[in-house]
Amino acid sequence: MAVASMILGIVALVVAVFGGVFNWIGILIGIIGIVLGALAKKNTPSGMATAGIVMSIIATSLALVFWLACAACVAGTESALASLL
Amino acid sequence: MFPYIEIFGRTIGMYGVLMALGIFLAGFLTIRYYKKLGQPSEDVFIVGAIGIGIAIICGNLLYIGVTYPFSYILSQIKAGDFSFLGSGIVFYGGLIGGVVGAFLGFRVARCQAKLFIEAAVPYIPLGHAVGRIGCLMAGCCYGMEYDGPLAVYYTRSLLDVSPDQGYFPVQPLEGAINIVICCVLLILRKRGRGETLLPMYLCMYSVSRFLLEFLRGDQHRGIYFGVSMSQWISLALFATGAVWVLLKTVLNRKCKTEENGPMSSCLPK
Repeated sequence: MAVASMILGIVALVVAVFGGVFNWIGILIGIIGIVLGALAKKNTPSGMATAGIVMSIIATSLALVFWLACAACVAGTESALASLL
Repeated sequence: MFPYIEIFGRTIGMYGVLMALGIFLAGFLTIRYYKKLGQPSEDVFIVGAIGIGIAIICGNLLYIGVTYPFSYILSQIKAGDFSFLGSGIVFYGGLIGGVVGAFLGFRVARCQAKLFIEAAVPYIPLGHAVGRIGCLMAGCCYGMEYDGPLAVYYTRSLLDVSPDQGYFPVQPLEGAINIVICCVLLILRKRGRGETLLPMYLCMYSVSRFLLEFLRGDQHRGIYFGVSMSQWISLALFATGAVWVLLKTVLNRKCKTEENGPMSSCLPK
């Protein structure tokens, strides 16, 4: 589970940085990585589990920030749409 | 106001940065108190991750539901354009989704829900207050038109608001109210009222949100029978919280006055 958490954290980071409007998938992958890492650390504390949690948290945070930055562009479109309707 | 910063050529939305900061602050304080209760911090990561994940999904779905017409959503899906996903979040959708997600997280983490709720609930309004600064920066969730003291002028906003028109500072006002709610919940926790923290928070926030909605100017959020979607949700959450507190008070009094016979009506400790 610790190794899986680390791998998911790395994948989530890649998706967060390069995913564009699909970087919300990085949030979901990162969350799974956090859960797996925390479960691994709770059952068998190890450095790999801690690293997996940290990597997944960083990836999830970046994905969230970048996703909402993309969303900001869409929000302007939404506002214009609302004024047309 | 100040919706973006540029870092190494990458546009970073202040809304997302402050939302993440709010989550980190609430999470850090929750872990600190939860460890004082002798519980493992890993539970906070598990419950927090699942709760926040479902909160974001539900908050976004509610935002899409109240903002876009169904025909627009269908046309975007047919065109393969999913950019409307993640266009915004409604706090209530996030709160309800977060509570559902947290209860799922309790099962995954196999932790005591009562202790977790006691640790986490007072810091939810604190995180929310930080997130509202993000709304102020982005120019979303803006107030009604207003030219009095402390009026906000959105010279750089993501939304269709006039830069020459002043708006009521509803976001910082809601942030300040949330900080007061946080302080009240911390006092209640210190007085040993941990069991009623969640329903008390639902009652306090729903009343404040119902009243603040009258000061909001972003009417495209959805108005139904003269009342906004958030006001309808506020009414439902207040009723839920009030009934919860009343039931707990009545049942606890019944436990104390019962001297003989089965204690089946009493809440488990």
